[in-house]
Amino acid sequence: MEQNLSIARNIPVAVNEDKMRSARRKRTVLKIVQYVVLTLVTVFLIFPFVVMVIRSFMRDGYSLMEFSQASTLKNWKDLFSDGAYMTPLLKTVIIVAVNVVVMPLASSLCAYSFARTKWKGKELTFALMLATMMIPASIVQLPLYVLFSKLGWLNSVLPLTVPNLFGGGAINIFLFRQYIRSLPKELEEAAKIDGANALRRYARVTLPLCKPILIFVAVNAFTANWSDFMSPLIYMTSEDSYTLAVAIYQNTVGVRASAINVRMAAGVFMSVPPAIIFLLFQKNLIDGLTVGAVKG
Amino acid sequence: MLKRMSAFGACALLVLSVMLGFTACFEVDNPNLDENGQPNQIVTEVDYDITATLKVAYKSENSEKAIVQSLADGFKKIFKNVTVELVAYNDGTANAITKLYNAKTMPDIFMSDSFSMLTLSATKGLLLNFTPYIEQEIEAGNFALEDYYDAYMRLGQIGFNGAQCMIPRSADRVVCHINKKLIREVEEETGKDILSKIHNGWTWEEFYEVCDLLKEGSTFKKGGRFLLDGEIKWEAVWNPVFKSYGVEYFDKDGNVAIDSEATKQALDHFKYWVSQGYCASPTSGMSADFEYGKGVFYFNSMAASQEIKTLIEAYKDTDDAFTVENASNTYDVVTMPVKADNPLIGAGAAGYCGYAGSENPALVWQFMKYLLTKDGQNAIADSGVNYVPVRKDMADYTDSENNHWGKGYENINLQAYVYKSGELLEDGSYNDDWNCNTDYFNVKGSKYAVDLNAGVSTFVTSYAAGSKSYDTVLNTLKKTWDAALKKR
Amino acid sequence: MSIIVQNEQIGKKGSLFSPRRRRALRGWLTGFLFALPVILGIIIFSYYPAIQTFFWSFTDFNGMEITEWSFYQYEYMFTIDPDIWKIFGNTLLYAFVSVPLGLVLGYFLALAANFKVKGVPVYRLLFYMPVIIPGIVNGILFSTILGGNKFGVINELFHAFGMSADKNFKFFLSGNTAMASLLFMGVWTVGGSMIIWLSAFKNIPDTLYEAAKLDGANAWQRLIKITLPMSTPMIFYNLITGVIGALQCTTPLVIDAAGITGAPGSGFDNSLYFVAIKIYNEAFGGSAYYAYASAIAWVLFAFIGILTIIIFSTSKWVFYGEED
Repeated sequence: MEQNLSIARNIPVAVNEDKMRSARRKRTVLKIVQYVVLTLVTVFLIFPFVVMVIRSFMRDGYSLMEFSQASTLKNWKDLFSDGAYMTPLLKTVIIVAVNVVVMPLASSLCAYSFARTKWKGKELTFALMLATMMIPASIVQLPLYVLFSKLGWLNSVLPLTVPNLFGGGAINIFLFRQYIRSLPKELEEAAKIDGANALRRYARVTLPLCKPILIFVAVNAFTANWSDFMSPLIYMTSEDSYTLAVAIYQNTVGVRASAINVRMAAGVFMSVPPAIIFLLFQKNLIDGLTVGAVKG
Repeated sequence: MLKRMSAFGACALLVLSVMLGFTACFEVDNPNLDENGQPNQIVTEVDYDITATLKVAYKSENSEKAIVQSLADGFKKIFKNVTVELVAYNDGTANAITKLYNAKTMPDIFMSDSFSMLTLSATKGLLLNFTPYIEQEIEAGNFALEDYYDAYMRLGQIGFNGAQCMIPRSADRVVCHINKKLIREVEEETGKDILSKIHNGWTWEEFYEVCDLLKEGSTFKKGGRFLLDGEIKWEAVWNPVFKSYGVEYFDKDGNVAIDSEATKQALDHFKYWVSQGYCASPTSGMSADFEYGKGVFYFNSMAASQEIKTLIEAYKDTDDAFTVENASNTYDVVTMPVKADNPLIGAGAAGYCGYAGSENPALVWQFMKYLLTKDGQNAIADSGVNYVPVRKDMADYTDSENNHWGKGYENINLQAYVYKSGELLEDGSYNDDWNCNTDYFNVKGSKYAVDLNAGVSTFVTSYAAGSKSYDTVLNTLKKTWDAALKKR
Repeated sequence: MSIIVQNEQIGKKGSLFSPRRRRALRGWLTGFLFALPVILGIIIFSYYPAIQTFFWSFTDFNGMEITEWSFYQYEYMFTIDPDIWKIFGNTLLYAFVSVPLGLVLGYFLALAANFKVKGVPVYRLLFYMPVIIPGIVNGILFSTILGGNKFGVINELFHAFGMSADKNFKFFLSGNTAMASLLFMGVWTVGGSMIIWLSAFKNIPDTLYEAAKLDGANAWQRLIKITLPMSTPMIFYNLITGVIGALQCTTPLVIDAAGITGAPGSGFDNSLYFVAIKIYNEAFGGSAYYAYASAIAWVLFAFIGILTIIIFSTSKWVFYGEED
């Protein structure tokens, strides 16, 4: 009996060690596989960007393999000295700066109305606002172009900034509304009792609580306006009012295929600010998307 | 609920109608214009001390800025108190000008090319019609149309034979730019003489012979390097070839008449360039890269000085670097090859148009008049771009004292730009034989010109690329033309 | 005091300026005023243009004047324009392939980005990088990488590895492969859809997975029974917005800027000609055919509307979980 017990006691230990070792081995193999997969996918996805960076340091007309013969800083020098990209950069910065401030504020203001106040017609208005998301941009651009040209707003930053004053975008209002609705009402009730009117309550109580979404909307405003291409293409026609995206486009049209490396440099340059922004606000972006999806 | 909806709806409609009214009420009629949108009074006498501002828009490419600056400076020597304000645009001309017109910020004068001018001519009150001014000046004895190449003046007219709406600043004839350095390299290698076979007035057969000789050289023998940048897409290249084969686009009743044996031959003419390897297929994205110093021939109307500058840039840090002084070692120009039995060469035309609603149309005309004088034409050459003057009496480029376009380029065969195009004959008349304008669309109307041309460009390039049959491209062309003519 | 209260209570309910009415009005006004910017915004910048283009599509408006009112633009579109059916086909093909493809690939990418290994956040960032590259830059970049002649990067690579110098992958330079190349180009931006799946994953409580594992569910079953159903709101929302966005794609304008054969942005042989590009060319391509462009835009709008309605009315498969 005692022998049996000892044998019985021994076997589980031995089996455990083996199991653990093979489990560990399986885990290591799994880890290796995972790293390999991650690296392969990364190489695949990053490859174009790397090509762009390499090309930006090369002279035109040489294939990638000949990098050592053809390396040059000329493209980058041309980028900064040639006025073709500096003024558009300035224009783009102005537009983006204005929108990054205006869009979160405007959309949170309107969303506050839909989330916290009661007025007849609120639901209808909200539905009508959401419906505008279905309207294709092409429909909007034609008459607005004619309107702006009659107002003389073409070739200025106004067409790209003023419309965003009026609500800041349906999707942003939607996001804010979702978020504000999920905030506890107690703080605002307290403020109401203290005699604060709606505007005060919005500015002092709700807005600070919305920080995550504010950042999310601001970041989106940044990326959307920084890379926006069709709208500036239509509304800005004279050379001194181009945005960066349009400047790069105009220098692409009709130029021979072998003369593109300056544009590669411009492209790298144009990708850097959004990359930095994403780096800083990564977590925010992922969290912000959840808010929109809760109600679908 | 229903009441709320209708209240909202009524509000919306109110705002809407306000908006629509808003946009409509900006139309203010200019009292200086008659019902055709042209100035009421044609004034050709302008006080030289007048104080005014002229806004001139130029297309921001190549050296247009230098040209218009030079013209402005020369103009200011005559009209001392006039300020000339220069503005750049960087889009298709018709596009850019239409946008400026809609924004009510039209310049008084703007640079244009002949086809953009045709497109813009569809809008009443946009283009200033210079014909009444010209007629008045002729009556007063201050102007003579015979001084100018008829073909190029016509390129500035609506339909190329009507109202003069654009004043051509130069006679941009299509020529064949040559890279002599590459030819000499092949000559050294094969021992055969090639350069002597190239001369003004050479035919397509001679051109092909030269090309074949060049292809014996190692540089061009294998695939990958091409001899010719043919600009097949461009109407100034395909139209003269079509015409020289006798192609008829529309018959006199306006019916499509392009399906013919002559058309097939003309198309095969272009396909030959590609199939023989002289020219890269237009759809392959490759080219002979003449402007990078890698190709031998380039069919274009660009001024010699510009091509030389481009080649200097291309060869800058290599053993073949050269300067303007010894440019004739590396570069030359010759007439575009022609068909032996029906020689025709095309031209582009760029020039300046005036705005009919300008505050000072008389001054606009004075600017154009200055442009057409010897001083004006020399001013263009002085800016560093030696386009051919549109004045016949300036064709002699060797007389660089009086005709600045030859200054510094006496060793270049600038004769190619004027060969058989306005040269003075013994009987005192001017030879205009070889000039050929793209005006087949007149039977249909100027406003279709651009779309019809686009159809033919696709017609030629897709056939030359070799992937489609004649019937396919003809079908596509007919459908494109049909759609273009039915647009409203 | 009670008398006053009584008076207030009895007080003329219907009178316009009674205190209760005033209070109600003020309450209404507050809400309304807060929303006024967006109300004005959607009227001026969404509904007015939509109605304006609707009217234009029945005229021959060319930016300057209107001379006729008729159905001509629609007649022209459906019977005379030789390119329009190919354009519709291209656009539908692109939208209905690229969006689901993106979602599927994004799911796998999200799985990879969720690996429990060290340094995964760095990988996640690198996966998302291509999405950050602005669209215009993407277009130029890929027209070089997927260049159809021997200068294209992929072609160069293949030549370096021994492919014969005459053979070149045509990519955008051939009508047959252009669309495939464009879809292939879209693969690089699945980082966007990856982020969406990642937030969907975060929303699914781990307890569900634990319970399923305890019940013996394998990875496939966990995918089908937990991940997918719980993600349906996310999928649904992004399917709609994705398709609406893809139907308005204008990327070929950047790839084929000069228009090798035909109009700018149309791609070789109209193989990349999308509706939004056609509208742009008609309106802003030189001759301002605003009326025709409006007609095409409204056909697109109608299609989007019908599509949205269809998707919404068949959306029983979307599982919302706890209602708000």
